Amino acid sequence: MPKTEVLIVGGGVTGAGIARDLALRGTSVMLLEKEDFSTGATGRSHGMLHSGGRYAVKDPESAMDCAREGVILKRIASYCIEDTGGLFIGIEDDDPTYVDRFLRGCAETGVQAKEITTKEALSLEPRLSSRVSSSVEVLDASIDPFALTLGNVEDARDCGAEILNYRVVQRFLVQEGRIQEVIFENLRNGSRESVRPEVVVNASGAWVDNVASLAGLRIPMSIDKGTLVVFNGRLVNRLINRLRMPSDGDIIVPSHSASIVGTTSDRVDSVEDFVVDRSDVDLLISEGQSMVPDLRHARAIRAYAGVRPLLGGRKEGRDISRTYRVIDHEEEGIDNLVSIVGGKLTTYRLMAEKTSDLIMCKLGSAGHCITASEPISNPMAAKTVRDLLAFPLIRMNRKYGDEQTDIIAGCTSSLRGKEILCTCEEVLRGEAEYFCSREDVMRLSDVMRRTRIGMGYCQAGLCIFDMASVMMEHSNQEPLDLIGHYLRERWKGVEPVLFGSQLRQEVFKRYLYDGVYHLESLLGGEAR
Amino acid sequence: MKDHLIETSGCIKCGACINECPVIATEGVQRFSGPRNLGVDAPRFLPDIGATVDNIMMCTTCWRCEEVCPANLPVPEAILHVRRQIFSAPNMLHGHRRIAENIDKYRRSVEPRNTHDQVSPRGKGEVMYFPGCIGKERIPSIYESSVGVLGKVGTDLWIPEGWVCCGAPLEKIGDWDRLRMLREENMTRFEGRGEIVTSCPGCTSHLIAHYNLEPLHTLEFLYEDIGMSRLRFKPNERTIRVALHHPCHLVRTIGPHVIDYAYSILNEIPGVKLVEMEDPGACCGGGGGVVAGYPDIALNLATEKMRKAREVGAELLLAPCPFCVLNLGRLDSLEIMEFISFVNERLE
Ligand SMILES: Cc1cc2nc3c(=O)[nH]c(=O)nc-3n(C[C@H](O)[C@H](O)[C@H](O)COP(=O)(O)OP(=O)(O)OC[C@H]3O[C@@H](n4cnc5c(N)ncnc54)[C@H](O)[C@@H]3O)c2cc1C
Ligand code: SF4
Ligand code: SF4
Repeated sequence: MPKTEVLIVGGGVTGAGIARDLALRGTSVMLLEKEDFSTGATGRSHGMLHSGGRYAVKDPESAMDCAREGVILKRIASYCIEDTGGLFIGIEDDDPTYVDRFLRGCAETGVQAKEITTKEALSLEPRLSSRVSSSVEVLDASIDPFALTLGNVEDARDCGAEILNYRVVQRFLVQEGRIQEVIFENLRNGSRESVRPEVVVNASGAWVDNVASLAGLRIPMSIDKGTLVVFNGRLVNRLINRLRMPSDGDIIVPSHSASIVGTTSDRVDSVEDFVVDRSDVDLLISEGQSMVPDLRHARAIRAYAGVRPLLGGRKEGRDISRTYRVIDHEEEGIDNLVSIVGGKLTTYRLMAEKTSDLIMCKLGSAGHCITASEPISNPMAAKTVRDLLAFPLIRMNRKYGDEQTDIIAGCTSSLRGKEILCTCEEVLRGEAEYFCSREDVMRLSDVMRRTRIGMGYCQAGLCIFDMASVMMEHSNQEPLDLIGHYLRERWKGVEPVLFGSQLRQEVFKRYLYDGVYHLESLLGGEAR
Repeated sequence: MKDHLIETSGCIKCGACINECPVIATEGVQRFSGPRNLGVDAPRFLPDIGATVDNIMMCTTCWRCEEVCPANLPVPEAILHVRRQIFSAPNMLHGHRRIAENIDKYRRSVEPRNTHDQVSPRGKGEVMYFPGCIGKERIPSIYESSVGVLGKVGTDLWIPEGWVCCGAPLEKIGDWDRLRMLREENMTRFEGRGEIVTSCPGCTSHLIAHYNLEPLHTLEFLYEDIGMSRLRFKPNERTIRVALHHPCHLVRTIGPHVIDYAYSILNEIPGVKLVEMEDPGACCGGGGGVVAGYPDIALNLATEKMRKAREVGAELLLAPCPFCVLNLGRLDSLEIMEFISFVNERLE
């Protein structure tokens, strides 16, 4: 039976961060993720690298962590961060005393903040409402959670870690107060496998309680659902936050080709509750409009929801601290299980550091953390590649960090590699080919998370068939299954925003899929 | 000004614009990424938009993509808007820099060659004629014929002293500082203008969109204000096979009615045998700053056009646009003439 020093459950940013941290310290690591990387809260987040401003008044501890980590991440993960800066803006009817409390909170927590005039704010962001009454500049940035997680995964692998997706941890074999064996299912072939770890890390986000229960333990969690709406185009170029006590629809994040408005906060019972309520969409659009009125005319592309793994307690949603806790289950009778709970994407590195420190202690090994200074990958400036237009090159530079050299080579090595498969997101066939040939990639959505293919305004309307055909060169799966699965996922996000241009888009797609390709009958009425 | 990000966000990816784009047809998508990419997709990535610089100047602004778009999105305008956003004087294409230099030196988009004015009405008439750079400096026969025709039909004409380039070429290359400067200079010279007539669809559209004026192309003026009954043509024994090119800016930015006027006039001219070429509205390559920026693309499109005209046995190709005549005239496979110049030849 294979062995490993550390077995990590969960391939969100926290698990991937721990894997990289430990691997850099020379530890042998295995990570198991039940779906693809970033399919949990990580990939459903807002993609905001918090300056700390949002927590400066209510949650000083988180604010301090965010302020410090933001600076570090901009240094070590610059390839997946757009250092846009951010603004907090108050609107005429908002509580006018909040700005002073905000500035005081920022000063006390080390969050850099500078009040500017409304005129200055409007010249920085011309689409802001003319009803802006106060503005503060902060150091927020836009971060791509998929690229961040994958960067950690690839780096950990380079240091020898074994990182596997589509592996569901199902059972812990507990004897003498220790987890002796971890049993998991390999979803690729349905087989059951096991591994003997010295230490197990439960980094399963909202599922921590479920995973802990495999060892007979409980971790009280509060499950809080947040909804977001994606709009076409960069309506703003900085992160825009509402300058008021944190509430719904406060933040607009520019991300690649889109602007994402969020979030809401509702307590839910199930960690798998990703259903988007139309009323949440309406609320977000109307709150977003009070900051950026042009949202009224902008095209909503899709909506999505994620659940936040928050430390339990009697408080509700936004009142629960965004800090994290590293739990050593030794006191509860399991010597070699550690859980990491709560936190933010912004603070994932710090959480990984603290968790890894404890693990090193348990292993009795030396080796200290170097993730605060070691860049995840060394992005190179987009080189002039004579064969490619500048646009896809710049996009690759923003998406892939270190890996781009190989990907670009793949794109230029054949005429077909240069073909644009997804025009919304400027993704070339060579990019899709590169990832489809990788072990990690099983479904079409896996290619999407890695390349952004299909994420644009037509929601894979045209590229889906090309995507499937590239996939078929590397897989023996049934193409209609791949397509059906992917379309159902996309539909969940599109259905809540079926109005205006997106409605027209779906009507056209319906014509194409049913009228031209007869997909509906091929898929047995499931394609929508 | 229009909000181009939002105006073009209704794209449903039907691909009609890509099928119709003449530059894609001759150059391929590997060289020219096309209307949807440049007018709809790229502007969404605001900070990266500068990357379009390697091919955005290849669009001839033929307006075909907008015409076929089922959502009627203003794609060419969006492309021009991107050109404006990414304009940087040091990075101008060589040919575009020449345009800017000519403007600075001569207040014309091209170097003046027509030094001796043969016809120069200096009256303070009721109708102001705006000659335009190409017609005045490059193909002076256009200027002379236009003044000639307008004189023959009895129009009381004046030409504004010290007129400068209207600025249309600067809009195409994204240079808005110079564009504004020219507009101001012209506006003071247009004082007391009355009705305005121009020979060039480019000038006409530009004066409408950027000066808020209501100029008429010479064809519109002849047909609408003068009327067919006042055009008397010379008798002619020999028949000549004539094809008519539909200039992009004439039919798609001024309006499709103007080309109907041209047909009506041709039908009245003795000895003219009209032959209709395939897709007479296909772009000749003369617009959008492409002749200056990418002469090879302009030539490829012109070659296509000439081939189509020759295919139907035309002996003469007429185009009611100085830019088209200039670009098509670079090939000598067929005689090409500006429309009004031909009218002038045949008018009593
Ligand atoms: C709507 C929303 C918006 C947010 N916005 C931001 C933001 O803008 N900025 C920010 O800093 N933070 C944000 N957050 C918080 C941030 O997303 C999370 O704190 C962070 O992503 C948590 O990462 P994680 O790896 O701990 O959890 P997850 O990403 O959920 O990862 C846990 C993984 O464990 C896997 N797993 C579960 N059970 C098993 C099993 N039995 N076997 C194997 N694998 C298993 C799951 O599939 C999952 O992939 C947001 C959260 C939400 C919900
Ligand atoms: S205006 Fe003409 S050349 Fe330009 S993109 Fe549209 S169709 Fe192509
Ligand atoms: S024709 Fe219009 S709707 Fe169709 S792809 Fe082009 S821009 Fe989009």
